[in-house]
Amino acid sequence: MSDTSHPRDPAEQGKRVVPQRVAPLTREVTCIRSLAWRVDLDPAQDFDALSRELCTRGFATAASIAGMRKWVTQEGHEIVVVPRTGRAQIRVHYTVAEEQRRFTAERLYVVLVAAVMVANGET
Amino acid sequence: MAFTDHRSLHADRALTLLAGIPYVYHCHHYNLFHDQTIDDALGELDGARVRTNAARHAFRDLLSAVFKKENAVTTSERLTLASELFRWMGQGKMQLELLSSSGRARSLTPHYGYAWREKYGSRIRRHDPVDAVAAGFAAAAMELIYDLAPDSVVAKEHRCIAMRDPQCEFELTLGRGGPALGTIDEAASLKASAEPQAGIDEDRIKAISSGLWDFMRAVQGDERGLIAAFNVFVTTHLPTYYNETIYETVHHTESVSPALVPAVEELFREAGRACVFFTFGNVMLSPEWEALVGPPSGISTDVISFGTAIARGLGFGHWLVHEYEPRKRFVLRCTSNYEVPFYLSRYGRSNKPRSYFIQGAAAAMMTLAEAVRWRERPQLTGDFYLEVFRSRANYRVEQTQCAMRGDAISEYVVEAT
Repeated sequence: MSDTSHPRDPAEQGKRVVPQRVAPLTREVTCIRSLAWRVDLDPAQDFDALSRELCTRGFATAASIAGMRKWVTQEGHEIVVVPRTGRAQIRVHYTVAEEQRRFTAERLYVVLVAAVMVANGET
Repeated sequence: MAFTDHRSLHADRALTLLAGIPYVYHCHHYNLFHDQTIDDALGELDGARVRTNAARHAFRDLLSAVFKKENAVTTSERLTLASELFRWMGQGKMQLELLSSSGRARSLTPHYGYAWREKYGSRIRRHDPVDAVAAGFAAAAMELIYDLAPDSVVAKEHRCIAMRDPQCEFELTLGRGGPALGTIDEAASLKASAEPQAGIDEDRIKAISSGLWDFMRAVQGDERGLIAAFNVFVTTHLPTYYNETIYETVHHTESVSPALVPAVEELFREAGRACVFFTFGNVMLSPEWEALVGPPSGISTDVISFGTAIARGLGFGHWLVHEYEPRKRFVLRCTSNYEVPFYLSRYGRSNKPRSYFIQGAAAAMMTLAEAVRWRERPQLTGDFYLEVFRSRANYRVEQTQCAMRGDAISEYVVEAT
């Protein structure tokens, strides 16, 4: 299912652009055909600051269970984070065509990386 | 519509109710597998008929109860309520155009058709419609909106997105009608359950299932009538649908082809295995689970406890771990489950254990505990499913007690072969 040798694999791209506090983007272990993508953040991340930055980039905070935070876009894409472990998941909305999901995930990943960098004063 | 307000819970029995009618959660992997199992056993034509009838009966019970709770008496009130309920359950958004003598229904996003296309559409060309649940729902809605007799509406899906049609389309016509069947409601479910018992790791299982119930309370269909959660498409579904399809199929096989009964029973165990592998597995690997419980530990006793908690959280009944010896023996008990009330109400006492779904599920829990390396974040693909259950699984299951047979509880013993 995974295709890590693909030249446009976001994991490869991620190695070049991401700050230390954000791991590369990888296909999530339990996805319905590329809908879910995993990113590992530093659990020490200031998630309130990250939330503020995501909200300036088209995301809105959404209700979630205790121990998890969630942001959604108008198109229905989601980023969820478990602050305790730093696990983040990018969820592409299921209406996106399968061949476009990887690229949508990449775009969301870029937004997430930018938000983390600004939240951490790294720009 | 605040359908959430009509939910209730008997936590000690893990019995979840909507307007007094039991409901459970099942994901698209199990739903598609279950329906395919019915068709494998009966053939596509009879399979679709049995599935449509079961859905009609299940939704008659639920819609009747919801109409009563909402005091919906006019045609338009009932029509709106029915389609909103279907969407809320994650079964899809349907447009119903129903008259007292005929009707049509359409959907761009029925759960079964959408999920089938998502899972198999790029690899398999399907020639038969897949949305018997939606067809049965539409038939039940028409019967109840116009106060028609049970089984008096024939619903047929003639276009389906799983067949690469642009939308699903259903025709509804008047038929002959049939006898009213008993409703499997809260009273019937409580009557068929035993006093809850505590099992191994009970406190932790209880806490996790309680957390899952809290989480699931917020789960409902989106604007398209679908629920994407735990990386699967989830439905709020009706046990009567699963039970009637399973037991009508088994009883039919017993009467016409008794030699095939073991094979059919094994198909339903297989469906239970698929449920645990895909649904329970996806839940345990989800961020929601990580927030609620923590990342996968890979410890086999954890997996057994977690599976038990998930079953309760999904409304499958009060499952408990009676014994567990890693790699050797697992004894699962149920003081209540969603199969028993239906069987006893519809058919009376069985002459043998018949809890096929949980037989398969128990064996699968043992397999997931022993044969899957959870800390390596396995891909829960179809190929991995085959690898785990055909190559790595060496467990047999025997149901030693069955409440359908008159035993006080149900018990499933899984042992290494």
